[in-house]
Amino acid sequence: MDEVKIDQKGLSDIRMYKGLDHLNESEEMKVFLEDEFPHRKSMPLNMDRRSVLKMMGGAAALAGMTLTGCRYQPQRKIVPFARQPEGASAGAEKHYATMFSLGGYAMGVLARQMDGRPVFLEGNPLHPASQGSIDAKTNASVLGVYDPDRLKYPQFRSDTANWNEAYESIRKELKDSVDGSGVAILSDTVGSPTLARVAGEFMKKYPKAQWFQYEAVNRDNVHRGASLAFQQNASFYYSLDKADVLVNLDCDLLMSGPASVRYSRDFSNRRNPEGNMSRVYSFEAFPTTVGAASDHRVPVKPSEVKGILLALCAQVGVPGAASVSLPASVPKNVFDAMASDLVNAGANGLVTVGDHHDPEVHAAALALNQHLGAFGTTVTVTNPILPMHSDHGTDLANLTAAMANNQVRMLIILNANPVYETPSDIDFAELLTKVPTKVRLGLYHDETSKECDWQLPASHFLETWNDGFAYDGTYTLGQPLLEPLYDSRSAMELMAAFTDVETSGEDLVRKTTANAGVTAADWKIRLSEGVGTSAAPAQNLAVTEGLLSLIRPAAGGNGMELMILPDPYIHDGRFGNNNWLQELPRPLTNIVWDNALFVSRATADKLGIVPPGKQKTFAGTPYYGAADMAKVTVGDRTLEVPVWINLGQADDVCVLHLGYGRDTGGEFAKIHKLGYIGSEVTAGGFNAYELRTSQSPDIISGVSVEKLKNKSYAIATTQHHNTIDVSIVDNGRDLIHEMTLASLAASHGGDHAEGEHGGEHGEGTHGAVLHDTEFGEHGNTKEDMSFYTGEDFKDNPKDNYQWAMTIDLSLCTGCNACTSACQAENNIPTVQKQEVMRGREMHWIRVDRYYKGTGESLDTNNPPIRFQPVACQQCEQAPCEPVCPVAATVHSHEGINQMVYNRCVGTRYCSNNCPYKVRRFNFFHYSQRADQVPVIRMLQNPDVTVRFRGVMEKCTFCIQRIKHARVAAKKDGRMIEDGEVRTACQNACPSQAIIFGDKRDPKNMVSISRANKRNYLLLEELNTRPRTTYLARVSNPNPTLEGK
Amino acid sequence: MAGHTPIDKDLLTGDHSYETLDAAIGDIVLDSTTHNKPEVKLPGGIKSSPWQLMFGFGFLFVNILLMSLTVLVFNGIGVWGNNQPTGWGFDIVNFVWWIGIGHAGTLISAVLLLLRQKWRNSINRMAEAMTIFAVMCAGLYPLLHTGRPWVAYWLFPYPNITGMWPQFRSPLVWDVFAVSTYMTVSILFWFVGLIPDFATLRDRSRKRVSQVVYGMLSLGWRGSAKHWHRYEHASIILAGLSTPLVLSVHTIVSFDFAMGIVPGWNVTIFPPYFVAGAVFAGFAMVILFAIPLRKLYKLDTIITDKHLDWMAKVMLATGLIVFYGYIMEVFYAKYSGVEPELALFHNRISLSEAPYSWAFWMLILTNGIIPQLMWSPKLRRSTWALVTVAVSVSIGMWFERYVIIPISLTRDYMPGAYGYYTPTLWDFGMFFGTIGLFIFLMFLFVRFLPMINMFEMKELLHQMKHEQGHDDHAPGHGDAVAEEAH
Repeated sequence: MDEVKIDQKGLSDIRMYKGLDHLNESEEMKVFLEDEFPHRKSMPLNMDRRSVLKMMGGAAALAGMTLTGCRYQPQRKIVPFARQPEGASAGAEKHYATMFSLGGYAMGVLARQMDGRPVFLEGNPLHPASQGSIDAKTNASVLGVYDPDRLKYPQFRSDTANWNEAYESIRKELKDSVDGSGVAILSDTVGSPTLARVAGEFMKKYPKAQWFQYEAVNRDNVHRGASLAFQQNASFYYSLDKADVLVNLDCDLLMSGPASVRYSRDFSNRRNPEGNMSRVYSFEAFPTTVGAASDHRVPVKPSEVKGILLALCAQVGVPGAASVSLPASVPKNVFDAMASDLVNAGANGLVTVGDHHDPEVHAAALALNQHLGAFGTTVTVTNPILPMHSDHGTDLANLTAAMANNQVRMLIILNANPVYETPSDIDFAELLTKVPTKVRLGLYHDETSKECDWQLPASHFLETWNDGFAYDGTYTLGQPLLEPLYDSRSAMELMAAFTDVETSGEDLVRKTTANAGVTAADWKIRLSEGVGTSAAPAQNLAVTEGLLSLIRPAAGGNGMELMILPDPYIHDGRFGNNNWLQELPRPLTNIVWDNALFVSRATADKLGIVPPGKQKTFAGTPYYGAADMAKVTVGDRTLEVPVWINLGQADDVCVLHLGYGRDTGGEFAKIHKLGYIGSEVTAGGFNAYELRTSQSPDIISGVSVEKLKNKSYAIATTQHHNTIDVSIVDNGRDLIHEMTLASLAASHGGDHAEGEHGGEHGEGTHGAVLHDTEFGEHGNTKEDMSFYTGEDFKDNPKDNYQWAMTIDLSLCTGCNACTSACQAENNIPTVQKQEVMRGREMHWIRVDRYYKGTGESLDTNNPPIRFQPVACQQCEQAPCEPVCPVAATVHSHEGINQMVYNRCVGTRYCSNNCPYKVRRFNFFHYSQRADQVPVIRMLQNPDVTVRFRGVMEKCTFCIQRIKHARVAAKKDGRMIEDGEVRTACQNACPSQAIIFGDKRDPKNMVSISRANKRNYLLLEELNTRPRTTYLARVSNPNPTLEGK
Repeated sequence: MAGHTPIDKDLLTGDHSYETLDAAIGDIVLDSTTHNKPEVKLPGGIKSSPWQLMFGFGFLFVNILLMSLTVLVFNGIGVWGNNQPTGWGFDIVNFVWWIGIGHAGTLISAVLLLLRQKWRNSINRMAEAMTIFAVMCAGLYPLLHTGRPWVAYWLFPYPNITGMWPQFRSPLVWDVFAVSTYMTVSILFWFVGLIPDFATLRDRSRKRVSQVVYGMLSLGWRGSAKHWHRYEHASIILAGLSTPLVLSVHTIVSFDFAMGIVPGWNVTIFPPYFVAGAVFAGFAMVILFAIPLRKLYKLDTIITDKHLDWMAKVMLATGLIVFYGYIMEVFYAKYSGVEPELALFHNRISLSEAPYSWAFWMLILTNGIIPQLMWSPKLRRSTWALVTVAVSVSIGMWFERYVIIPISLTRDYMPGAYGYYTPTLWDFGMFFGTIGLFIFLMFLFVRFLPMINMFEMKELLHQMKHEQGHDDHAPGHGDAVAEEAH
């Protein structure tokens, strides 16, 4: 206020005045001007110092009394846009097509951008690898952009540097080499044609430079198998939607590989009992999701796979196939039934083999598929899809040989992490010391970058221009969703800058497309759709004649066999710092934050290992304790790992996942200790690379496993206790209805329920008609059983939407993509290992895994495996609602059980009273990272409240998406259309098991699904009247094998 | 009053006069040396009095309690062992346990007053104090078990700008009313009962400070007939108000579970079974405190073996009701044939398969079997046997709630969501902290307030003398002459 002080005398003639008071400088005006709070006249402020002190004291006391002093819920100021940037509109979401690539193969995704930042990834419906669905890895990769542990600026020997320095120094060295001799580049799989083009230009300029590709999880076996079969490099992929009979030989078809999402979709299209249901046989060492979904599943050792395949070739009559004896673990009747099914299916039969099996197995499978006539139907052969075909094993051998011979003077490592990922017989860190200049472009300051001179930050894929090919050769474009958060470059930008001048990624990618003849007008359309071209044309290649005679007979397994597989979520370790993926329960085992040595129950017995559930005992009672540790010895290498019993795994086989046991790479990627007083745990797992060798990276036989005495390691799982322990009393629970296709057909009897059935209050009545044939005792219909007419759901007027969901258990494969999508959509925090051990994971939708069998049918060697996704069931008569003392959980007129976070005081009574146990409580301030780390705050979905500690939360049917649709519909003056609202889980689900919508209109998808005879309510006897219903699981076993 | 039975002579033994009664009880308070006699030798040659020891012990644990609360409020419920699916663990177990302990006080002071049981006179004050302190300990839990205790006041119906009321269908809201009413009435009843004794202390006191303080607390009591008349009315009214509360509080507490859908919770026998359990636990705690106190302050002529015998009988009777409850729970499960109920009992009983069966069998041993010792009259009069059984019952009643609350929650309907509950250090910190608070408050009470109702003892003495003198004395007259006792 000082500057407004008026001095009448020295006024200039440009003086402005506000009124007469001002002009005349009245006393009142002076007071008004000089007073800080001029309007306080309304306040009784004629107080002296003592009164002020008294008031202050009183206020402080009141504050203390009402406990408001304890409230330390974060309060912060918000700052509005002073001027709104053009095209931006707060809270509005935009979708951009971009791409995700793993192992060199692209998958089209749609990134949802809100307020200028990508917050969520969905599948691109136009892209063949996705068709609108997404897997957990891809979905969760959005977290990587905001990873606070990323490398943020260029460093030289861990000192701050900048890009100019880096470019100058590296260019100088390149120039000094003249023709690039002594320069080597090691990248991960090059999938981008632009990078391949830039690489080509680089090699043209420096012809003596060598380019190597190495990734720990590669497809060498498949490529070698194809070239063995076709005598030339080729790629091939499957069309599972055309497969009437699928024989899956130890292949994790639906969870790994470049086409897993598409395969899941195609697979589920044929697992629909109302459609033309396929039959699936699986022979596998390690239980997979496809194995669990199979009609017949046989655990076999990896060494037996070849024998089974060759026996099958002989049985089916592939030319050149010698008759082989069937491995002992395969029942003859299953094998015969399978062979005859396969022959009957002919061109619609398909045999698939896991990537980790040797090339000969892949070649033999191709020969068998060709013999069936499957080429052109279920198998498509194309020219190599990847732009820079290479053999990773050979590349690594060549590179390491060159390094050992001091032939490499400068090594540029692009994204690959060889120090961590190379097999244990290669000491890459040691070899690096022989290279004078080491340049590393990477996302993290990890094992490799620690050993390098230049640590250059790489851009995340959502920050860069990119392109690539999908599994079927579809050219895919990727555009950045935000400017790089840090001072980073992409691999193609870096290589272009080394070759010539710095060029933006956009220009590089555009040039590639322009070379391919894409016009500027086309470019825009293709970019917006994310899909550049159609699939690669099928090549009419034939398997070399007499191939099978070239294939060596299967070598008998040698004692214990070890299979080393990529982790289902953190892959080769690259997603190790992604806490969403770390905390996503691994399919079937439900382990989080660690890996473990998986063995079958019989093998565990042999090793003297007790299931964790039975370890610590009090009067023989199971207790959730730590897992026994064992020493695994492969040749001269050993590794101490915890052992986990995995039902359904083949005997004498142990399985270990890659990606763990790191000492760097970010807060979550490395081995870390956490916990509070008295309960400290370690997370981060064990390094499987230490057991890998260049010769046999994936399957190692002659392994010895020895139990370590008095050594244990706590493993966290989201589903505690082995269900076996309580099977005696839990066997009568009718949680998962199931039947065979034949019994379903028999029960149909012509009156296919269609559309509206049972009218307004018919929720409980339809669907309950059909009961599980195996628990067929309770044949009573709802009318017989219930005291309730169902009319007491008062808020069910016809003029409101009535949301409902169905989950088809025939289609669910248990991949957890729904859980991951839900986590990203709803700002669900991770709680870390030790909180998971306490049973406090926060996932709103969980996938329960059950093994089936009791008494006579109990078979822990090969139990039927069942999955059941459970989220809030949105009960019409929700038991959680009446018990909340503050009405924080209430029912909407649209049938959604709503949670009012602001009102929740956290008594947890609602959760106790929830029979489905789907409510989640913020025991601690789990969202603290989102709250305190600014970059993570950027990730949060602005449509969803970030919950504070002490508050209950749960699935809301993605109410924010409903609201968005409602706004759009209201603006257009129409109702929300069917399919307009898709929940995050529904949208992600690769097998399309979830349907959501308004159940009032019988023509809506969800109503049709609810009218299906397979529809049933979970825990129907409690009369909670859930809005989420399940469709019974149907299997299609071979009639001759019924009962097996 | 036709069925008036003569007063049992064993209720007041020794050669007591009004004066000796006042001295025996009142001087414990007025003469501070009674508490400070260094009778106990501690290691290191330090001598301490039992009172100082117990008070110090209580004080230590009060500090542990404060620390536990601070850690809890600053970090969240996560410091406890509660999890999914076990939303309630030690917090509600301890709440119900403390509320149960509080029950004996009201039962003794109100119900037995209405039933004109003279043997209540020497234990009612102590029992009422225990009620209040136990409810204080209990009250901490519902407040602090909430995820956001700073908004726990939303459970009260108070006018507010959001126009929100509590949700009256929730048993937790009923709890708020039940417990706060119980607390209020208990304090009133206790205080009203103390007024004549405050006056006695005022009159006997020789120190200025205590004269003033007790004088103020006695609210100008002069012992006039009018005063006694009003006093009698007030106490009868309060007894009438308290009596339904004895039943209602624990009934409503049991509704927290009985209204739930959890197997093991939704049982219709819960209200009577919980009330009986509460009285059971309450009497055990009164015995546990009465025995050492009467020894320490030489009150065995006032709290006689007869009293202990009566209390033991009540304990035995309520214990049998509770044991019947356990049997019926198993019967219901078996008879219903409902899968989750059967599984629950398997989960409680099976030694080889149920992770918590030890707790259930512990409960049966401590609550079901050990109290049967009380059938023996000899053991009912043995202080050691009584203390053993009372300790056993206190443990057993705690295990009863432990078996019902967390164990039922760990395995209910969905095997996929089964869990396990393990309490943490802070769970124990808060539990032992409240025990410390209870001991702390009890010994403050012993120090500053008469632990036995003086005027009622004098009234009893008067009646006994009366009965001795006039065997044909008209019954019911005794009450009116109470002023003589003053």
